[in-house]
Amino acid sequence: MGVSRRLAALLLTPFGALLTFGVVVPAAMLFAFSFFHLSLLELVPGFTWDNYRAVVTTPLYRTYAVNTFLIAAPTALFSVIGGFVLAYFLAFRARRSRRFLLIAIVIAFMGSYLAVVYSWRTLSGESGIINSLLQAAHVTNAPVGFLLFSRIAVVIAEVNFFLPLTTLVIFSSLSSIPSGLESASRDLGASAWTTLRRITLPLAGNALFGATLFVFFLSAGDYITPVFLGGIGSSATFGTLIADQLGTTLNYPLGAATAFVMFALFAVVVVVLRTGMRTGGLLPRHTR
Amino acid sequence: MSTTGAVSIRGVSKRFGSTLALQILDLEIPPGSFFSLLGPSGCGKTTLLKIVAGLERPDTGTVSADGHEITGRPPERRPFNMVFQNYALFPHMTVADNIGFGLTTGARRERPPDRERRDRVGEMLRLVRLESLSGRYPSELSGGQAQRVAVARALINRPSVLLLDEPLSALDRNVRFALREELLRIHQELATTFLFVTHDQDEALSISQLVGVMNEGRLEQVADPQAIYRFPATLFTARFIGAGSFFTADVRACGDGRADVDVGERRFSASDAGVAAGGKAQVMLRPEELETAPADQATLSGVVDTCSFFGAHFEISVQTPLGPCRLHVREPRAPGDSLGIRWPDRAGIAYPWEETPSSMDGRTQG
Amino acid sequence: MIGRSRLLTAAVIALVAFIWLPLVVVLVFAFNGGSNLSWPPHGVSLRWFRLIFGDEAFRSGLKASAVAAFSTALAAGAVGTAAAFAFARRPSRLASMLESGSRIPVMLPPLFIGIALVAAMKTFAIDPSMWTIVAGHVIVTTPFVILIVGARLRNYDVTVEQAARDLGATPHTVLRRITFPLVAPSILGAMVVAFAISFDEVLITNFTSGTTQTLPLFVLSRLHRTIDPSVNAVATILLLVPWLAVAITLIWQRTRASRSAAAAPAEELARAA
Repeated sequence: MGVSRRLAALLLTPFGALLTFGVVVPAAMLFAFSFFHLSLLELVPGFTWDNYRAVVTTPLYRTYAVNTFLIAAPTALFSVIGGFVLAYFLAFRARRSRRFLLIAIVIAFMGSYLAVVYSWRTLSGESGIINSLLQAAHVTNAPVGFLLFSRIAVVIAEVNFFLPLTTLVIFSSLSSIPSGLESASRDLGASAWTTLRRITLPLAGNALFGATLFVFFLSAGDYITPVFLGGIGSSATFGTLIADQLGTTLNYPLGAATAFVMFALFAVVVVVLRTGMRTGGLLPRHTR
Repeated sequence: MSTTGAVSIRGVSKRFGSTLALQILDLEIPPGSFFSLLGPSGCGKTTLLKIVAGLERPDTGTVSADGHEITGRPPERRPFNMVFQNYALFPHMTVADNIGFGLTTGARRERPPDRERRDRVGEMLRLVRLESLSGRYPSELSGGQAQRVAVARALINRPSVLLLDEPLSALDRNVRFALREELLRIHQELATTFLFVTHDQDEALSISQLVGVMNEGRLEQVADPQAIYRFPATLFTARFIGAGSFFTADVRACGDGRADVDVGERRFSASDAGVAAGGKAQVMLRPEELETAPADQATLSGVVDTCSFFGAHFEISVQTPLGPCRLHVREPRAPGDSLGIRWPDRAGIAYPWEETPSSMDGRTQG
Repeated sequence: MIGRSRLLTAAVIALVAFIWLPLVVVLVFAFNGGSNLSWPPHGVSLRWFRLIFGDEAFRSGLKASAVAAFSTALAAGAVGTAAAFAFARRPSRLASMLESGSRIPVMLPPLFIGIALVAAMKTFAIDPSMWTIVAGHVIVTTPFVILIVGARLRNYDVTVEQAARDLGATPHTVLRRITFPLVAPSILGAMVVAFAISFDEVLITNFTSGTTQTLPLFVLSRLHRTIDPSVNAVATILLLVPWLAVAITLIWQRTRASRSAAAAPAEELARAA
């Protein structure tokens, strides 16, 4: 049924207020904070570029940026590749197992982020399950150390957590591809690989692009996994830094400026990824 | 013939954005008739039906039912009910609840008591022969069953006019044929006016008493099925209905409803559909008007292009010096065979010549 | 060909095993009799559950999370359903602007929403409380409600509403007897999703909670220490509560209208995602 203009306004008001006062205004305040300064641990309104200057010029921040990228990029890459494999199987190959697999993935998707982080800690510690299994099987004699408190540990746990999400996003895109297209491509003489490269991947291009960025942002903004699985060196990400500045040391201006610098870097990632995927033929050359 | 169920449409037009869906249009639907609106997709037939149902509002003009104007009335207050193309059954209700829905929507004190409702639902289930399925949900029905439920649901309020929007087009051929006869039977039983919209000419010609042919928002012709087939009033109708051969001709003389036309070297007398002496015309001949003939008696010769099997006959298409033509034969012919054709002296219909023939495939929306 | 499809099957099995490995470990070790987190576990016992339920901090955390998740489900369900109706049924420039805006809270890292709320709370001198926790959760869960309910409103055949009008139903009757019954399972499913997200939320809550400790924050505080086997039991509750909520909803929907093709929230979520 149609909805009258007045009713529509009424229906939209709560959500409009939520977006305005829950996202837009707070984000604007945060942006304003990034130009304020601290005096005797008190926030002083004003206008200064000092915070941005500090973030851009301090060498330590460059280390943070590189480390953040070295976690978020492989996390996004492996999550999307793994998600594509699962989604592809679900959409085109699975028959009887499809329903079961889909339910298994949706249940895991509804699983707990903290449970995953905690579990990887018990799994990969020096006396953890993986090491006790490896030693019991005489694969190694001494515990394997790199599984915990390393970049690899962070990436493994984050991929583990994001896989169900990327699978579902890519699956919903793949399942809208008519089933005859692959057969048509094969019938016209394309190999399985060519079909994947030129038909399936481009048709899922937008979902792959979106999922990659989504996971990249979430990973870069994650401030819990790096601390508990990354150890001292690998936990130095923008996410943990910002969380620390706004949650613990209460250096609001610097934290806010760091957050917006991170956004600027996100924009670079978006442009690079889009250009790359367009060059590779995975996204249309021009937006329609 | 019943005394209610007359629909009168006067000066109705409708525009969607920049497309003119209906040009100003008048139509009288006699009470108790089985009336079909026939046309290619996008010709405006569904828009016209929705205006009658009250689901769309016309920009101009009026709609009346049995002499009462109902143009502004909302659909729930019109004495018409509709059968939708995709059935539109309520997925969360059983067959019986779907059929009985129309008895539960009025003001509380006007609703029939439960017992009467059950009886009338039962009566409708019998009418569409679905007594055994009353407890099923729509997702458990076949297409044909679903459409019968939709018909029963629309008939339960005893509408004076039943509106049917392409009700058979989503069905398989065999089911379609069975349901077509079912609709005819129900129409005869109830004597309700049926206003039936379809793009399928066989469907329209086989079951209707009257057919209105529509094209690009206009009514091209309203007549009974035989007249529509034998004497299409316009070139569009001639092209849209049945098969035919079309030749360009010069009009030599006309009068008394006949026109003397020259097609190539050949002069003959055709029915006049509005041509002027000295002008150009397009002449249509039905395939059954042409015959094959031995070379010495033939008036036209050509080469067989294609030959298609139709059960009772074969239809062949022949390339002649005057253009392609179609005719019916008893025995198959091989493509490439040369063939003599005999052309009767009085045959065909002459239409004023058109540079670009009216489109057969609708390009506008409907 | 056969080799390649075997390879794909093997990869799928490995990936699903990988996804489930940490969840299974948590579930298994929550019932572990021993206190060593090495394979194999030592017998089955409920000692860790007894331990945490004896802990006052855990009990108040569970209560706080339950309150937050219920409030979030109700608020996000109401706000999101209203907006989804307006988006689907009254398109306008404002509506489409708001609809694209509804993707923002999902696309932004939760960290950013958390610190933006910190900035707003600091500016307007709002003290952290259960209200601010729920506000943060409603911001991130409402888009999911809009997505799920909106998908349902758009994918079901609106001609059934025309058919109801044609059979004499007024717009109000159509809403009550056709539209609402058809959309209700999706609204419920969306609310369960909101509940599940809220119950586990930690990245925003960390900034908006103040002294209130939700269950995820309780786990977070335990992570700072050395490995504590009782956390497995807490993590199990974090996993099981949302799963149970979904399972109960599914069973309720099945028994209510098993045959009328009401879509399950899990399937809808998969479709909407």
